[in-house]
Amino acid sequence: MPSGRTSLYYDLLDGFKQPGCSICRFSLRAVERFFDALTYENTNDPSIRNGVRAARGFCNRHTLQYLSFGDELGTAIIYRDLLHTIISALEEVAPEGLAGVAGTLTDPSGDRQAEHALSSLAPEDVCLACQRLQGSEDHYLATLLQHLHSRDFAGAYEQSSGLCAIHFGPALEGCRSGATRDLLIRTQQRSWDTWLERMETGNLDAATLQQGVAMAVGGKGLRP
Amino acid sequence: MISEPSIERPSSRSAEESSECPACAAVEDAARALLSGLTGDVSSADRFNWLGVCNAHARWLLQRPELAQRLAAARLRRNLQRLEDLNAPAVPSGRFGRRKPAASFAGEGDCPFDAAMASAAEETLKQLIGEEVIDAGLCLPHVCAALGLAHGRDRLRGIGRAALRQFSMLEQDLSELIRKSDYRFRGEPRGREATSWTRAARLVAGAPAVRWSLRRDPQLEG
Repeated sequence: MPSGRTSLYYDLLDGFKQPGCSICRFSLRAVERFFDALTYENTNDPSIRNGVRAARGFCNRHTLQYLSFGDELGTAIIYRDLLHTIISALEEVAPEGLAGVAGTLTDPSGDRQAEHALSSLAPEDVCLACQRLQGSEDHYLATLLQHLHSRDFAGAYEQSSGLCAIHFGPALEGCRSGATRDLLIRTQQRSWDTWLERMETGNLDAATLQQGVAMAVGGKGLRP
Repeated sequence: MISEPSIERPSSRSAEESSECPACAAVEDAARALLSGLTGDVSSADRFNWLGVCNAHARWLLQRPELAQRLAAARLRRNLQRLEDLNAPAVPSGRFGRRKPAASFAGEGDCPFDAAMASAAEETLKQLIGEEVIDAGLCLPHVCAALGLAHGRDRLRGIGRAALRQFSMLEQDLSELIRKSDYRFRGEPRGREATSWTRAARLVAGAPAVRWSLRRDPQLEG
């Protein structure tokens, strides 16, 4: 295998043959696989549990995605563990007995108490699935830019749908050569022209409309 | 498959849905009202910032395909214009000639749905705190927001105690669910703990309508 041609390289080559942004496709697949592994074998993985606790669960969108796996017991175990952290933080907000009396004397307005409570309850880190998404996006973008100078790869990219609006900006920013930059712009212009034409025509079927929206604002579940 | 947040409120709500966070309900109502009021005029005279609609809320617009289509067209047109600008001969500037273009093809400005939702949440929380209705069953992001908005030790303690009671009950339900998952107790009839795993996840994350990234910074709503 020639140097630098990882599985990501071949993923992208395959992805170019399909409609839509390849970075979106594979990054979102990485998140799907993360949840698949979580429900299958990682529920009791200490590093995962630490990450979930630090992020105070998953973000809103990824919570829905996790629930869609229907892992009743695994979800219950993870969230009971998380609730222990949240409950400990809340107990500091509403202390009982002597601790409560002492708090009233030392902090009558409760401002310091509110500040402390917020810092205990608020997430300390980003949602694990968001981290996985970001990491995957970075790796695929780096692979794309690394190989765009090779003729076969560049040819396949030029025939593809290009990238979505979210990933095109960072790709262009990461470009180090004029030829690669021109290739990115040329491919993108053709792709967006085609999609604009479709979006400006009459009634579209649901799948085409979803793809058009994905090219304009990024794949479903990417980021706000 | 990810279940897309539904903006249609179900006609009959189950027990756990009726006890949802009131701030989340207000947020959903605000987003729904904004969506139903849209005419689809994507012209610049329209005060609605079409170019700012975020990734999550662009999916909401798919429920009204004519709006989603216009949004996508507006964004693609704007991005094609930016590509044209990149291709135009650059005006030399600085020592090394051509200035590197700002590569921004994402949204422009704030998402109007996010703005409406954040202000609805803040208004509802202020009202709840003002009326001292602090036993309202807030989700975690809105508990944090309420703590940020409330002033005075008694109110803070009230919010903390209400949340503590709620999360402790949920923790008990989860423990019961885990116990009954054991093969020795599988035959026992199921009660309210059966739905505790979804209730816990939703209570920690907030309602599906709440913009997902708000979880990263609860202060955004407070």
